[in-house]
Amino acid sequence: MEKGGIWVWVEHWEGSERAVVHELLGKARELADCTGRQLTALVAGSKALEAAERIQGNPDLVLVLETEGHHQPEAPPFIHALEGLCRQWSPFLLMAPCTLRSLQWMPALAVALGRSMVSEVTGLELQEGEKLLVRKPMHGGRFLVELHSCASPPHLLAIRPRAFPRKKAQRTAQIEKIRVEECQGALEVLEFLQDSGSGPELAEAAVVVAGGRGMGGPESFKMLEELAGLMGGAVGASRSVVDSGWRPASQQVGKSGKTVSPDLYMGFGISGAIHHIMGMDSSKVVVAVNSDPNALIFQHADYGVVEDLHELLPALIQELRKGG
Amino acid sequence: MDIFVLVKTVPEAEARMELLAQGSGLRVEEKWELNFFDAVAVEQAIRMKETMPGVTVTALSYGPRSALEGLRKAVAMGTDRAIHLEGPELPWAEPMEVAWILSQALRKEQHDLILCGRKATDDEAGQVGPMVAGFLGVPYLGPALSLELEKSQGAIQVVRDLGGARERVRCPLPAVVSAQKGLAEPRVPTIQGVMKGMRLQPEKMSPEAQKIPGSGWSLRGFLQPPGRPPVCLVEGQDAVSKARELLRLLREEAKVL
Amino acid sequence: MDFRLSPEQEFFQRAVAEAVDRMVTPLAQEIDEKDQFPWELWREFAALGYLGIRYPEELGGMNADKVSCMLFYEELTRGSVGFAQSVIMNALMGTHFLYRFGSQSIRERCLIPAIQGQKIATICFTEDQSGSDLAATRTTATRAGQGWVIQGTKMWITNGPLCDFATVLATTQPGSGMKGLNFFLVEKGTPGFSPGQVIHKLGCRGTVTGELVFDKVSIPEENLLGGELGKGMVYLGEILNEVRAMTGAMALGISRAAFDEGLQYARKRVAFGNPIGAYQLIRAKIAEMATEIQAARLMVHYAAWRMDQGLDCRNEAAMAKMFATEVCLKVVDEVTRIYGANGFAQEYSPQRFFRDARFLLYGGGTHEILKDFLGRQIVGKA
Repeated sequence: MEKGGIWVWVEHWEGSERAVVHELLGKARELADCTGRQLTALVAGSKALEAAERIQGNPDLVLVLETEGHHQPEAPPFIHALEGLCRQWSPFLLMAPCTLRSLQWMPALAVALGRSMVSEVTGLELQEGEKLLVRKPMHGGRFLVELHSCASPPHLLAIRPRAFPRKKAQRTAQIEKIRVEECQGALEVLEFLQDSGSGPELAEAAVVVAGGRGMGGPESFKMLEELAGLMGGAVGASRSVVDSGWRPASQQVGKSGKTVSPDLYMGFGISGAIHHIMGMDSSKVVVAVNSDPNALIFQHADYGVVEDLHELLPALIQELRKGG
Repeated sequence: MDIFVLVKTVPEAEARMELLAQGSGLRVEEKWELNFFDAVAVEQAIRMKETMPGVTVTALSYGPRSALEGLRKAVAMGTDRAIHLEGPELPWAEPMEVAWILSQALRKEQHDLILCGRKATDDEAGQVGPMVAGFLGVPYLGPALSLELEKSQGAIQVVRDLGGARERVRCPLPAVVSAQKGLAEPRVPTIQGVMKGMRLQPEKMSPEAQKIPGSGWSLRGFLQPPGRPPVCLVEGQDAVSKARELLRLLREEAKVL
Repeated sequence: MDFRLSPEQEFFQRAVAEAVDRMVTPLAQEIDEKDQFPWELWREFAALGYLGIRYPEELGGMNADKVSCMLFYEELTRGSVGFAQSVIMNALMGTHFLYRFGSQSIRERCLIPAIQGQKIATICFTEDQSGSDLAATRTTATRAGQGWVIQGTKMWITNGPLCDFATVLATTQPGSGMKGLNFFLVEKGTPGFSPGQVIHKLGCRGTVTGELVFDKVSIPEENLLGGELGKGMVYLGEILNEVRAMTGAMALGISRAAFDEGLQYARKRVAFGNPIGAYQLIRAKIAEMATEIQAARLMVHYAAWRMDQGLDCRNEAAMAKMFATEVCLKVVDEVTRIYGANGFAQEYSPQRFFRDARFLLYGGGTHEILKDFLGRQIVGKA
């Protein structure tokens, strides 16, 4: 391990890392190469080694944090150890995916280290070798704010999924294990409930197919699920759909839900209320399907289909099946 | 039992906004609202007050004059007290500074439970709640989908949203809990509440002048993301031909399939 | 001079707007289509306490200033005109004389339950031969021992068929015109008091409007509202200006609802490759509507402000009602034009605003009567 390196926190569930981790490693590799710094990936918790082996391509070093007992990656012993490692090795930059999980520990680490952090980062550049320029959305993506680092490292950043492309590399990083001490946090975990559901996580999906009020009822979402399955995407929903109880709140896209930036977003029967637009406007390609040619969502779309979604959806599904 | 709710006033989604010259800041139309997730937190606090004797709920807000709007709303919904920590009007504020200022104010008050929204809809930082917990040295639990106080009133149980999974966790009080959508549906205030909101004279506090620890970022400016070109309407005789044409465009032109 | 609303009034307006946007607006189309009194909404909305805003806090009200009342009427009407009519009847005309003259027992029996929404109130002026010409009122109140007997039929009574009690205008001296008029309280369940025909209306659907029949209805002495006989018209004067300004505020509410829809549509409806709002003729409509709504609002608020200051506002209230109504009729028309053929379609709201706006012409006095009144005031008896 070298001092002043670039560190990436590997978020994973039982050994399967989140897609966003590869995006972070790709960006970190780029920064490491142009500054000659060492890139270290940190993996902690139960089945950490499995994840470590799959992310070996980009980093120079993978640090696996282990404990006596079984813990989630964000459990107190690991976060405590991370703080110690930061003090010992003074990394230049620590990047984590900006998720509900990282927002549990990174702010606390920032307080402990006396270094402020930036969350929901979507842009990152090095300037004059040492200074960081970061960009993050404000007001639901209507504006971006640019911030300069003005304190000494470590710089702590929580990076929004799909902000950077996923990059493959051929390296085989060395894996180093360190045993960290058990410690008791104030929290006691009583129960862990894995949400059912297959396919990619909404915020990380490359394809999002979302339904609005125009779907007509909860039954129609079966078609969206099928379409999402065929495209390898995730299903999203508008606020009114969630408020009507047709879909769970975890699928809500918009101001009071999630922000998505997939390569392809398809909105079916969504009118285009500002609350929803705030959650999807950063998508690369937007397709809107609505029978009302005046629906506001067409103003935020690249491709528009004026058609009854109950006819278009089965047609799309059939075409995709044919295409294999 | 003393519950504090950290609240922030944010522009309404429909408020007009424009960049100032050279992107030095934003001009925001004066249409304010209580941050959505903070309203959820206020609702949760009030429900606890309504179901248990001896609970006092205080709304605490740091910010310029507009902070009053969120405080009025919190009071209209039913909080007992409102404290305004007066701060400057800034286009962007460092979450750690805000958390430090709030935690210094909280140190002066008896508190058993601190609630806040999981993020503000304007700067979307999501850091202030966990950082306040950090500065106060108390546990942070969130974003909470449910919150129950144990009979002893000395500990809480929270189901927190981990994105794809949930966890039921328990911790002793005092603690900071952030509110996720679904924790409690914010109520429409009654006229008696609205009157209290109208007449609100918040308790005022000045933030500690002390140097804030670890501020590490300076504002360079604001940008507007590039807009989307006009929509291309997919032509076709019927749904099937439109579906075919759409897929062709996505494959050949947009290259996303 | 200060044209701003106070921060308190602004907060009040936002609170009302939120309640209306969350509870009333989403049901407006359904209320109109079903044309049934929305009982569930009524109970939920009444529970918030807005029905008592004019009255003192000890009665469950908020002792609101008149400008705030106008803000309330405007926002509520913006949500649903049909619903607003019923609410405002309970909040203003249907309860005012009970508040002013009702005994403690009447307050407890009728006024407070009406403020809480548990009882539905109304006031009865119109008959088949008298509307603006109240001197022609033919419903009679005749002395009978320690009380009165009411005889007659009232028409066009808002909330009438549903009401739990009615404030009834009746003459105690037939043939003596205005000087014989007085207000009486008649409660549901009194023998001889019954609803008649329901009127099917062009607009303001959801409010139940109809006849009330008084067939030898015996009421006790305390139900004469206002101690001195023959003063009915003087008492009516107390709320006439408020009723007129309120009608102006309702006109503002319909105008705002229609304008907002028109503006949205102008921004999104594309013709010849551009949103129609990009074309000058549509922009001109938007600019003119915005200007006239602004003028109407200043007039309504000015009349209400004079009321709050205790200044004479007979002319100002009449002008505000008339002007705001004419603006509203123009706005609802222009918005249906912006909508093109869709303005003619049932599933879009402009046709509803177009129909609803018509009632403003009669409520609070016809414009022919108001112009005659204003002309007399300004020119003098000449």
